[in-house]
Amino acid sequence: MNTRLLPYVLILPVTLFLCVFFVYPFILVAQEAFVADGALSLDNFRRVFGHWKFPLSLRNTLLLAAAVVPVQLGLALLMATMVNRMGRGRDLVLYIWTIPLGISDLAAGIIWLAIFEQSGFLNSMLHGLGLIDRPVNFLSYQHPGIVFLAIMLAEIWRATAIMLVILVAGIGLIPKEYYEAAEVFGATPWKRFLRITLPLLRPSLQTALVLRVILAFEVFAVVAALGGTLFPVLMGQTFVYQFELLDRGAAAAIALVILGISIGFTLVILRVLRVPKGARI
Amino acid sequence: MFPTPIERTARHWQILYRVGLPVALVIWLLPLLAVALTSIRAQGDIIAGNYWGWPTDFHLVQNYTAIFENTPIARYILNSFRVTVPVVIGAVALSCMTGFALGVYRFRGNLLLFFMFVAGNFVPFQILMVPVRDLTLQLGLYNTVTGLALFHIAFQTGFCTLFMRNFIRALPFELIEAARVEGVSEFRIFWHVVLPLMKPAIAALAVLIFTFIWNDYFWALVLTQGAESQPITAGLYSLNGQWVAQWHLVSAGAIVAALPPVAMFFLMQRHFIAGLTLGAVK
Repeated sequence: MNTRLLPYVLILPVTLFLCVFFVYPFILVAQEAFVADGALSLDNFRRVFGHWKFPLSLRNTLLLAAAVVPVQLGLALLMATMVNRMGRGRDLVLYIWTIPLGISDLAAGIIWLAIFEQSGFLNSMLHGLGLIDRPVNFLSYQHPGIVFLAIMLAEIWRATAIMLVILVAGIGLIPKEYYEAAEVFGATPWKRFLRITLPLLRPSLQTALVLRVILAFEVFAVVAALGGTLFPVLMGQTFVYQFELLDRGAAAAIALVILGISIGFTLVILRVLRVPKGARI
Repeated sequence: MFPTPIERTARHWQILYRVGLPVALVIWLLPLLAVALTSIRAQGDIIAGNYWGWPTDFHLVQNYTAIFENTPIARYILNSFRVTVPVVIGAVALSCMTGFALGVYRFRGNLLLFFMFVAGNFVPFQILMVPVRDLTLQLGLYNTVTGLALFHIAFQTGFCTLFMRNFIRALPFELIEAARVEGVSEFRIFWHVVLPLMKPAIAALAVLIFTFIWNDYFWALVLTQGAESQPITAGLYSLNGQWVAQWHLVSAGAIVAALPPVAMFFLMQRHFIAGLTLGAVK
């Protein structure tokens, strides 16, 4: 086969496939959002923004991301540096920490539901310790803080490992000579972490953060399992508009809001953690 | 030598590791252990609120038989396999081709196409819910395993291509050039030279995609309904509504749903972690 032609032949199937199943839906969603009653308008967005649940779900989504992602970042960094210093047992520890990645977000939500539920583990433990007289319904509207905490814990448990794995690989790529030199000059471990690991880890931090933040804005199954209607989030609202209110325009509009937020945060992360030219390893 | 092995660090660090790490690991696994323990309890324990104590009776066989006999959970699992396996094969095959083209050849639009794949990775796919559902309805693929699989392939291909392209870029290019000098056709180079070298990447990607697709709940909910086509994640949600407060059954169901990817994980851990890191860092 002709060398000039071959790359195009190889790429053709994917391109066709993606045009039909990815690009085309993308155009449709934009069209759906900006067209109301057959004319170009912002009515869908107005209707969405005007609904009382919109500010609430926007706030919840952002708040959850703001609470979960920094904790995950700190935890993943801590775990990655720990794993990095281990010889024997490194793989086992890494394996145990990554197990939640193998569990679906819904199953993880249900597992944490079993813990926080009225007849669940936490209640039974508190009751056994004599701290409460009768079971408390933690996941109810009277305890918004606990609902938030439960969702937060479930998300941290479920999704920290993806950052961990990326950071472990990134730390492995940092040349050991830097650390040796720093050690010779008497830099403390904390200083070495601050001055060598963190700056040189920027590319991995970028990837890990962008990936995690985008996934955090899409959070759905865990919230559905634990919070239900008590804790509306943007993705859940898209779902409600589409399947319960049968308002496709509004669903598309919220979808574009999520896309906008994701792109905005991605750009900010890429900008803040940018690697200066010529400073690559 | 760096990093300093734990054995050679100061005494208090060693103790911290020896004690802190196992504790951290147990806490990490606690939710899973709790669920596993609950899944073998008898209903009496659940009603009596005995969650933490030793089970009064072991109902391992009863509970797991019960969920398989009284619910379509076997059907759900079969559906999951029917979705996941074709997606793994399709996405890996497509991305091998595209990755080879993008990694080996210089042609017009190469970089542009590559950046499209990178950018496509960072689009939240779930926002495509509305049109994707319409499309499946129009194509007559709504509530079919085929429809679900086709869209999964479309959403995974960007990531897979990026991954494969980076892997092929890292291969020694001299091999391909040597083969060219020998007059081997381009297709045979792809098939006999590059593809065998890509085995580790293919294995890593296959495990990764398997877990991603198996665990998908969102698209299963959007594109399917009913036991004839729903995969296990969506099935588990309906069963959860049916088993109100019967935590031993809910737990057994969750364990069954999690077993295939976790087993896959256990068997292919090395590949899985290699997979995540290869795709993410380069």
